[in-house]
Amino acid sequence: MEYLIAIVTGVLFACGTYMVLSKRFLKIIFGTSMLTNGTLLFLMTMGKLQRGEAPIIGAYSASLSDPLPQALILTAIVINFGITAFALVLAFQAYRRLGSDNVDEITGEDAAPQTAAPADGIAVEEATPQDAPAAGEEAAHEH
Amino acid sequence: MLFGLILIPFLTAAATLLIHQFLKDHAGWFVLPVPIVLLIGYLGQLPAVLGGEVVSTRLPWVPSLGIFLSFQLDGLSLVFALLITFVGIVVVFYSIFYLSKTERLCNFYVFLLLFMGAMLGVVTSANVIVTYLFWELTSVSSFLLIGFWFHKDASCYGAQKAMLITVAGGFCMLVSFILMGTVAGTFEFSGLLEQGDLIRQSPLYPAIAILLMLGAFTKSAQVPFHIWLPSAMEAPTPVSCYLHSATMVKAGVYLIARFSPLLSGALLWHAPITFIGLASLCFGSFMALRNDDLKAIWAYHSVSQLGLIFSLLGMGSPSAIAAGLFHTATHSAFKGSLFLMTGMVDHQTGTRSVDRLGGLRRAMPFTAVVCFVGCCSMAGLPPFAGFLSKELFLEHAWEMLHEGPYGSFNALIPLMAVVGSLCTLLCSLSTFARVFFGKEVTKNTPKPPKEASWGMLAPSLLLCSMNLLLPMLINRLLPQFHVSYWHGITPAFCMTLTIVCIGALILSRFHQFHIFINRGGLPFGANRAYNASLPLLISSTGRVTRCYMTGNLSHYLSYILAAFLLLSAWPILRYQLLDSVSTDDLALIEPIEVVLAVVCSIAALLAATQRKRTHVIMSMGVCGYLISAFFVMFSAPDLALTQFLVESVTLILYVLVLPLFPRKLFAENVRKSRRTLQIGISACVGILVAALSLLSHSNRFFETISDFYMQYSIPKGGGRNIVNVMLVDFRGIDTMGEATVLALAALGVFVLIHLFTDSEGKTRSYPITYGLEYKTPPITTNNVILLTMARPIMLIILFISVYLLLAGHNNPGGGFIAGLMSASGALLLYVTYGKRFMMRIPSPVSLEQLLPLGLSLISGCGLLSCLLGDAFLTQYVAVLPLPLFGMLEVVTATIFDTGVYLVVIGSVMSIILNIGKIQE
Repeated sequence: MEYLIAIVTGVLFACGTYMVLSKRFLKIIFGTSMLTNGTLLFLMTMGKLQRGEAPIIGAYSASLSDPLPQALILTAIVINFGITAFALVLAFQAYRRLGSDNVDEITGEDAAPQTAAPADGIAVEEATPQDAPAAGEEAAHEH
Repeated sequence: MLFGLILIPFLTAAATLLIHQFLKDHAGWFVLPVPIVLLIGYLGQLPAVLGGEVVSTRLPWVPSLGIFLSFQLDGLSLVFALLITFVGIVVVFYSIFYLSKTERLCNFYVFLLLFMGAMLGVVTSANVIVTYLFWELTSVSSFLLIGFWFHKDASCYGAQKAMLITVAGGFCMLVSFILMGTVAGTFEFSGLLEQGDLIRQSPLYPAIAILLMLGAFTKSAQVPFHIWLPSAMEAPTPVSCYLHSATMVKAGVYLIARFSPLLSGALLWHAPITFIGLASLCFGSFMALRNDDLKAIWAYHSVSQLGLIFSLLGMGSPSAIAAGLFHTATHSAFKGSLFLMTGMVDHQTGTRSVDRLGGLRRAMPFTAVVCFVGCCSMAGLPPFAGFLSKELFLEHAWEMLHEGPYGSFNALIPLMAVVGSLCTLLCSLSTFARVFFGKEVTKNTPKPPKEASWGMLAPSLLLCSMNLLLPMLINRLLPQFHVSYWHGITPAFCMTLTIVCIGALILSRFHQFHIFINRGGLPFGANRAYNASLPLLISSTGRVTRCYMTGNLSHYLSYILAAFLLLSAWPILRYQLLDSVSTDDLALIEPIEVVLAVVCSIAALLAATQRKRTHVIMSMGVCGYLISAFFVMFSAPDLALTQFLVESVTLILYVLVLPLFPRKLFAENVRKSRRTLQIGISACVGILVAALSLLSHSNRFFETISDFYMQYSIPKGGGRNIVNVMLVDFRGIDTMGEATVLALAALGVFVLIHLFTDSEGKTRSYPITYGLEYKTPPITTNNVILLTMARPIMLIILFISVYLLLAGHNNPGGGFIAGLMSASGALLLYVTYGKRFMMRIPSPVSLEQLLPLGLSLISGCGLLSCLLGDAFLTQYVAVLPLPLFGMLEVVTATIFDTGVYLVVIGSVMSIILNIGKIQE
């Protein structure tokens, strides 16, 4: 069983790493999410995968599974959601300002913000001026 | 007493800053009492110190590191302290009349006070670390004062140069101090002195001595570190007088004199100090001859005269060191008055160029007197103090001819002494003659020359008079160190005579000599090296940094991954750790688990390789739900519930953000080699993590602490669900932190969506609209079943979530799960009826307000236990009898969990609803 979970962990990590190494924001963030999934399993295997009962003390419970990794993992799952959401919004704002979601085109000082609105970003073209004056400044000149 | 004296300048500086509006242009008069009070204060210590006493005081600062704020006043310190305060009075008084009222006067005097305090700190501190701190403070205040006119490029250049060189030297000195401290086990100077033999015999002695000397040489502008001093002449002239001739550059002298008893004795100590001093003496006075700017001339003379003092210190006998200190004082007297004279000439004529000045004797007679006394004293002519100290110097140089330890190099010492003194004499007298003599008053100056005001003349004359008074003062105070004008016909007298004769000869043909000496120039030099190396240093470090800081995320990621692979894989392969993987005590495999594992792996692979975004999201979802199934297999009901709910909410999140991003998930034209590399790295990471997972499972180095939780969950936590008890009780602070992270992520999303930077660079927020202002149609569905059932289902979900919250302590559930459950119920409504419906739900608080509410419940729960006298976040259990129902168990952890519940609902809902807003 431990071997099986170890292999699944490895596969999840490999896929997550591959996604993180790619160029597009969205895929990178999906990759981090995948890495988190791998980490959850990894933490689980660190404690013994006792096939005991759930760690709830009852009258007749003989052996309980290890509660320690469970407590660690529980909060990690919820935080992962928050962080993923934050990263997504951050990436979206970066994409809206810089006009690209390709990390190779966004390299610090050298990447001057492009003047044109992003070509295939439907969000910006449809954005109401109220919601997007930052990019709208430039877009407004074109209209 | 000593502390008070140290603190006065700093306190006055702070006070000056506080009341600078009221001072206007009278800051100088406000500051003037400080050096006067200090001078009186230090003079008050004179009888005690003359009686051989050492006044000292000490406060602990960082006692664990042996650093004390200890100060002491012995003879050496007192000489410097009196020098600093006396010249301080002169300079502050002079500045009041020298500086225009339009300058930033307050800044000037604050910097000056800062310097005065720092310099007094250097010479009185008795702990070397404290000495170092004050030492660097003098460099900083010198930087500020040189750059006082920071709009001039030359000022900035000079300030930077002085800072870089003196601070680099100061750093060397610090290293030397630390080495001494490690050898001797103390940083107190007295303690170091007791351990002197240990330090001198230590193998670290050469490093200690040389680093200390580097500190002294850089501060005192000795060859080849002298280059900062001429550049520092961009400072206002009173500053040049005070810092760069009379006091700060003497800090190196103080340092060497202070450490001579500790470190002297070895050739390694004496030879560099003597010969670098002599080299500076000759080089400095020679360079002074070649210069035209009055301040540059005096600056090079300072290099030369400091060299003279250093060579005396390097000779090392007590009488030579005493002579060196005597010359320190006389140098301050004559060089200080020469700088003040230069300031007056500059102030009254508008130029400092020797070539453009001439015949000023008629226009500025008193200034001429100051200059005459200063020049003669520097040239070493009787009856001025400079003659006496120069005589002592020549005497000691002559002695070295026979007694020096340098073999055939002994003869160099008197020779260089004579050459250096000759150059000094030539330059000082010729400069005086060229500026103040000549047929008629020059008309070539920006301003018509006239005598300086008394406000400037008086302090100059006061300092100048020291050239006559100093020998008498010394004979009066220190009878054992007697100086007299006539010793009979000694070698020193003959040397002086030779110098004067040759000097007179050359002066009579000075014009030709001047032309001759100005011919040619060195093709290399310390200045050129500095100017070339600085941009080179900056550009090359920039180039090195740019090599790896490319700004490209993929590169940074590969560094991280490479480090991870190397650091983890190397020990595994090196020590063959994989052999230790045990196969006993493995859990059983059921067929369903194999199926789950295979499907999960396939889903992950699909997520990584699919091109369409919806497919990727679906694969990710499969993966996430299967992990929750794994948690069921592992008997972790809380985890399974959490993972299941989060996965659902995440799916909604993904669907919401999809339209915001471009359709393509893959970058075009990625090279095949690069893709292969990516796959390779990913495979390596995967294998390594699998191996690590097995290793961590097989090797248990410590007993697990889980048993503790299992044992005490009921007695201490009052709950049967161990995971929940751990979250809310045993590891409450952890959970509190995690709830805070979640709240911050939600706030971050909120801020990123609502704030923007406008064209002027200001941060603004979009008007936050709640209510019925949305124009776009909400997401609606025409699924009748969903439309009908959503509300009853939502009610059921809410009911369950409240149950989960309350039951969580003893059964699966808890704040996190209940929060997620409620949030997903609300999201069901959101998905079904759209945002407009959500906005119509009456709610006493907005979603974002739930975050602080929840967090304050959590921390309030913790503070409650503090109030009751227990540790932060201690939870209490109480069993209350309830009529009819029996006993009711009440735990404060429920309050804590409610806080978590609110934070989770608030965060999740606010994240989703805010992201939903982007689309409109």
